[in-house]
Amino acid sequence: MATLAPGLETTPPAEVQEAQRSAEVASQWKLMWWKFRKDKLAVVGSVVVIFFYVMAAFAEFFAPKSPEFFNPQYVYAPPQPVYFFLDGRWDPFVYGLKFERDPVSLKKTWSIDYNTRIPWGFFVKGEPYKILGIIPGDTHLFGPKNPKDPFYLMGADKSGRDMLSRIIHAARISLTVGLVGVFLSLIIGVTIGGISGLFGGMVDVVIQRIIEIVNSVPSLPLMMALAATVPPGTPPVQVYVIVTIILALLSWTGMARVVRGRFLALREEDFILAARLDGAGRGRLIFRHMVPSFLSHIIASITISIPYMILSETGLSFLGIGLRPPVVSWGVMLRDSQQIATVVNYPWLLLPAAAVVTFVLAMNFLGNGLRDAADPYAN
Amino acid sequence: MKTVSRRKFLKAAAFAAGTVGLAACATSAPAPTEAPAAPPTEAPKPAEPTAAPAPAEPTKAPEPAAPPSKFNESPMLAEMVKAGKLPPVDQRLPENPQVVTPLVREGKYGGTLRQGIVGTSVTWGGGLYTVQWENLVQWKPDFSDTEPSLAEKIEISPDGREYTFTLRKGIKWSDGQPFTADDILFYINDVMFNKELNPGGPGADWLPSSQRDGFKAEKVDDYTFKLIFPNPYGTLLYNLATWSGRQFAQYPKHYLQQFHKAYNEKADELAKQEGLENWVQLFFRKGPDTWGNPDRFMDVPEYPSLGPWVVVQPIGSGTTAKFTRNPYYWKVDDKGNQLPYMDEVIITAYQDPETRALAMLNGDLDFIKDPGEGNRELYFDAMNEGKPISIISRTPDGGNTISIHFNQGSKNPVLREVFQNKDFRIGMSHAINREEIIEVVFKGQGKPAQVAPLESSPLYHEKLANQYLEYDVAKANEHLDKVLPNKDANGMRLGPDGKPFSIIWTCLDQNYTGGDVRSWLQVAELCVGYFKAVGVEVKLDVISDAVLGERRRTNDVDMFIFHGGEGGAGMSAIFDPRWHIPGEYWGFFSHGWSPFLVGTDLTDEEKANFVEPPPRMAEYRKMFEEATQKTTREEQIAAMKKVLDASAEEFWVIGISRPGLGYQPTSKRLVGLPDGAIDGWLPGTHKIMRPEQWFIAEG
Repeated sequence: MATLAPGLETTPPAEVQEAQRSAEVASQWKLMWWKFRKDKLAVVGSVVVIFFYVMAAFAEFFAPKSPEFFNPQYVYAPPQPVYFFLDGRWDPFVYGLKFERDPVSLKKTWSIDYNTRIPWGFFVKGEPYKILGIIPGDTHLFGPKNPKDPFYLMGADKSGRDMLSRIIHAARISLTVGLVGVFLSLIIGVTIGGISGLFGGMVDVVIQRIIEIVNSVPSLPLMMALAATVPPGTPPVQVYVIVTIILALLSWTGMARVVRGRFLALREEDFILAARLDGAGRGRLIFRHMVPSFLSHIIASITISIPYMILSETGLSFLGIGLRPPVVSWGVMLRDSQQIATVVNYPWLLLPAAAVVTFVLAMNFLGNGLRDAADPYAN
Repeated sequence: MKTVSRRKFLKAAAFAAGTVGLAACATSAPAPTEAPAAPPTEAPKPAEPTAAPAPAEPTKAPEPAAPPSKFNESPMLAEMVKAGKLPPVDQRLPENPQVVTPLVREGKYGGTLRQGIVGTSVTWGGGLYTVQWENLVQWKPDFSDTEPSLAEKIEISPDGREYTFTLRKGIKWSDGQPFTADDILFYINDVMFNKELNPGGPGADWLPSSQRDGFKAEKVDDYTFKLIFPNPYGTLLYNLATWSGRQFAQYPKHYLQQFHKAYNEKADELAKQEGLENWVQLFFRKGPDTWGNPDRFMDVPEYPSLGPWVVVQPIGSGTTAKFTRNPYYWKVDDKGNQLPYMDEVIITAYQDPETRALAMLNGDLDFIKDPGEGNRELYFDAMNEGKPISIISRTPDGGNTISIHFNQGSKNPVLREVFQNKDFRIGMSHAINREEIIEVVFKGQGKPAQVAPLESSPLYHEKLANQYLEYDVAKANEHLDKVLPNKDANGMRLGPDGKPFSIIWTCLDQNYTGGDVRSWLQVAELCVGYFKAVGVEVKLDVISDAVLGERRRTNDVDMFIFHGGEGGAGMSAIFDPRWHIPGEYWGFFSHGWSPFLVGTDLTDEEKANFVEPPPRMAEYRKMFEEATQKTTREEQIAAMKKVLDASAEEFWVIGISRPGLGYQPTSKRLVGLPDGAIDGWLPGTHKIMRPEQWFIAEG
């Protein structure tokens, strides 16, 4: 910060001095936060990620309808245009839609029904719900003032259900189900890698061979086989959790290898030697001194794993070996868009893909920022 | 042109080297096959003199002054006749060829049918119904009854036990060899009843287990044979006109006997040369396997066929299969033109229905089977935009869009007790808002109905079709209260054991044997809501069709949603009674009883999961068996009505609606498909539209 130039005053201004002094004594977490704050993309990313998770947690409140709500007259209805002002006054509304069906091709031609004005607003009373099965309520962030009215801001799917509400509800499954697997594989990876690197010798050799065996198990066929052997009647989400856990049992190896490598390198470092000579126990050695120095790597790999897990949920469900209806997830919703007819006639069925892209991008920006921040001394 | 010269060559080789050498020659044949393609007629000439004249067909027209034939043939074949490579049309056709009246208008010769399939099975993708499947008797185009086909006359003894078939004299296999009663007897005596080929006894669906002991086939003369059954068998001809009758036209004795131990002592050695263990394996590789798999007709060019087109280029590991016209095809149109009209069929395989739909929309294809209800608008839009597509409607043969089954033989005693209670099923039926389902899932087409023969069918049964249809929650609750009176705090019903009552509803995901069944799941999702409204908890368990087979074996399907097809149009309910009598393979409502009612291949351990049915179930089967024994249509209808009375009384399955009209896109240039043609598996999907009389109008 304070650059020395010949012939110039070398004492920095007071505030800089203050910052410098605080930088010298700041804890690592504080340093990380300062560094993170500077990365604008990461901040935006974290806001988006937090927003998605809050939305997923309180989906019933954020979604105007329940995911099952349907209106038989609105099958494949296009998104309704939104109006906020009526005669210059704040009075949000949408128009109803009506269709005519060609008797031979059975194609629906939609038009706006200007005679039915559907007022909507914020914090309206709607279908009653229980958030996460506990908190009861019937207020929705926004929705039609009459809960029975059709309200399709992002169009309707093949059964006349609201796409927007379903995307919001789907986030709950899509953003959470795979987390179990990610953290499981992280814990196993760090533990086994740590043991391998710390002890070395015979232990290391045996663990490395086990890792090689685990690595050679093909995961997709295994997953398909597992999905087929689940006893009938197991709830589909539970099936998927089991499957992701088993996948986690296969995917910890990469993390374990990296951790082992870092341990092998670190245990020879001077500061570790110093700590050891200071009488630090093995636990303190690992968690106070070694882990922080490769925290950036762990954070990076988690933030890459989370989008990966969301994409694999989407991908596997899309292929039909992940989640299945009646579960509402982004992947399950996207399965309906496998038909040309969707792309041509009902493009709004592709909207869950936009949610996936937004979230994954935000997560990656956040991950980038966190990785850089976790290594505050790096230049 | 290519094939025939090849076949000639093969025949010459066969005569020279004897039957045993045929397989070896066939593999060495490709050189002459390729040659004639480029130079017109000179190249194959040298092969001709070696061709010993086959007894049935002189190679040259005997007299130049032969009377002009009353039959016409394709210019492609006429040229070959002129070149002396093919006997004239009169000698190729039987004495009394089958006359096919064009279903749209008289066609013209030439052109190629471009058909698209999904997946790699040419047979099941749709090739079977276009190029191969021929029967002794076939459906009339309206599916109302059967009419003679390979057989020109069928006599039935008054007691319905003895059937005498007279084959059309002079029908030839695609290699020019005559099709006779010997081929039929070979099929029945040497294949079906051969202990080595069929160790488990005869495997043919036209011969039900009750008719096996004491059945025999007799040859009367070259063109006449008898099938003699131990019991009267009134519905035989219906069965022979469907898929069940395919095998009669699948076994060319003159070709297959070289692989059969009884005719060729060296068959085992031949098998070893091919790297197989014994002649049984060899026979199944060269001919149709145990269950009469028609794949050989799509895979093996030298396999003689009776179909309108024969394969010249199997699909192998590629994406196209090519078929050329069978010069010996035994059908003519009403003007005496030998069929088929089109010279070639090219079948192209696509990975998924969507890429095939794009090809069809793009005008790269002439015909596809199962275009998919979801794509209906696309085809109509394309047609309206002036793309070269035309669309006809198809009338489904099925009685319903959907059937909902409660397995009355569930291994769960609580469910079993509830499911067997008719009030439960009545209540569930009244709980369904059928009008809403029709609007949401079936695009407003059709009207509410139970699974039953159609109004147009002579077997139409008013009560069976229309009982318990109205959507009436109060009525539903009234019936359900008789079965499940107790409810929990949330209004959900408790089982007779006092525990929360819950049913796991097995539903298929997207595909069922390759067909798109998304609508089943869609209906099920709606029904779960209707059932919840009357306090019955149903949980969907969505599986892929690979898992379904396993669940069936362990009797783990308590509730199932299935199509409601088959048994709707015409007399079909009497030869596919799956919705009306317990024990049928696809009758999921009685699945848990089935091993006790019909034959089973389950192990004892697996069988322990199944339960014994009430005694009246065996009576229902007997009642149905009696109906199938009646020989006159009036008696059949009367007897079957009794079966349907019982079915209505039992109320086995819950239906949703009568199916609306289907659609069939074709290219604009393809003509011959009649509007409103019946559609379904029993009429042979598009076989009933007589592909042999389709033609290319222009382009």
